Amino acid sequence: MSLQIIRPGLLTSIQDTGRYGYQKIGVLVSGAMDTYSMRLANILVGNNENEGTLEITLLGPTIEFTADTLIAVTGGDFKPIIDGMPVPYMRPVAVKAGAIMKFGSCQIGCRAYIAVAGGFDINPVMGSKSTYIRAGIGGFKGRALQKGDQLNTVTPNAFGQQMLSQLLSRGAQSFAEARWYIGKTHLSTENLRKPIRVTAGLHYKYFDQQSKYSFFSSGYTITNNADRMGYRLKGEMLKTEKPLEIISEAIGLGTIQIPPQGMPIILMADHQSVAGYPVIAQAIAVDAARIAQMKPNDHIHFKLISNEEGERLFIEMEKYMENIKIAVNAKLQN
Amino acid sequence: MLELDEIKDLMQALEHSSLSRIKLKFSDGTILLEKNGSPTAAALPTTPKCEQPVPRTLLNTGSEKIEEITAPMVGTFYSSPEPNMPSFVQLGTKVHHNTVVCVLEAMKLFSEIEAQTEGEIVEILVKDGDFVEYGQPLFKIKTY
Repeated sequence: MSLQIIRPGLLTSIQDTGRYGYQKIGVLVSGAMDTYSMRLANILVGNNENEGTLEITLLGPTIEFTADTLIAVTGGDFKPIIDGMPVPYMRPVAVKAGAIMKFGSCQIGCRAYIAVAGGFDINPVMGSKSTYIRAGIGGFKGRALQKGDQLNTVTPNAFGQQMLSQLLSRGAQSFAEARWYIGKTHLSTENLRKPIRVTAGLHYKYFDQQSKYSFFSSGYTITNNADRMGYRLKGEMLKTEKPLEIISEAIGLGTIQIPPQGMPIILMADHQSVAGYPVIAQAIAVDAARIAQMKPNDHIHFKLISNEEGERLFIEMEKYMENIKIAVNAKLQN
Repeated sequence: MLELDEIKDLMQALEHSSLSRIKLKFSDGTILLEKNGSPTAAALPTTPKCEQPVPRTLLNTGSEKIEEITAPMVGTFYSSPEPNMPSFVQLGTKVHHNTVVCVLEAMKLFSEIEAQTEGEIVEILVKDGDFVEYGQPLFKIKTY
């Protein structure tokens, strides 16, 4: 059982929740940019939620399925089609052998995730199937997918197999989707309009009044220098009251630092382990997934919240994920 | 309290017993062992099984029949896939067997409800956001 890559798209790579425990020796966490969408894709096909998925970016791939395969697509809307028919998101879809799935360019969001029941047959590197492209480790040969790549998949578990045969029993031509789906969670139209919520960064207090005001009131534009490592923003210039001599500090997904030119950088999934620019703010965990769905030229607004509120939102989201998992498992079982 | 080995023995015993948890009280503390999975699995609400509804015939005047589409499960009724999106169907919409007429939300999952009959929607019996019971009529359909 495998997936044949007919066209790779702009940047398609295998990503899971990330490679943890090795930042101390300089190995990045990597992993999916929008981990919620990635985890949901896995949950929908009965996988462990940390299983490797395909992360696709801005312009999607064309994939041929060599065997009947249960998949789920989540995240940004790439309008995928099989035989001219739109393939719905956020639900299990049984794809028949020989079907060719074409993703277009991203209409809403920036990244989508494709999970296959059973997962991809690749060996984890340092405990993760994520592709760390700059170092050339993990994922499929340590790189983004290319034309002609053949990704083997693992036999799905009982849930996955049952769902696959159940859906195919309806007599599908090239694919059959479940008659149920998950709501749009953090990517609902309403949520996408909300500002990105941040907590005050370690060096927030050293920024001058005008910068503190501008950062939260003026809004920024994402420049073309935006990749899996970080997004460079453009807008009102920000500076500290006095030049700051700081020692490099640990940083994380969603850390917003201000280099001397005064334009913010948001660090994303492939961020380095330490950085030495003043940190004005930290995007909350829940909203980092929304930043992952923004693309160059999108506008970004920031809103300051407390650490407690950020934590509350994180716990709320995890509870939601847990409920989804229970509900989907029950669906897959009956 | 207990030595580590004794706790491990207890864990073994629990694993092979039909109990789901053991709680031991000591003068200097409490040990609570709970079996992985079993209590949560038992506490799991079973998802309402969503089969497609079987339309019920209300009126039969020979050439024209009025049928009802009923809710196959409990849940919250939504007439459109997302707020501010057009409804799946409206009064006068002609539906086929597999036309999706609404979605019902239960346990964060949205189930698409198909008409399972052919005809024209003549009455919508519930409002967006209404909680509907199993078997509750949702639509009236004039079939030919």
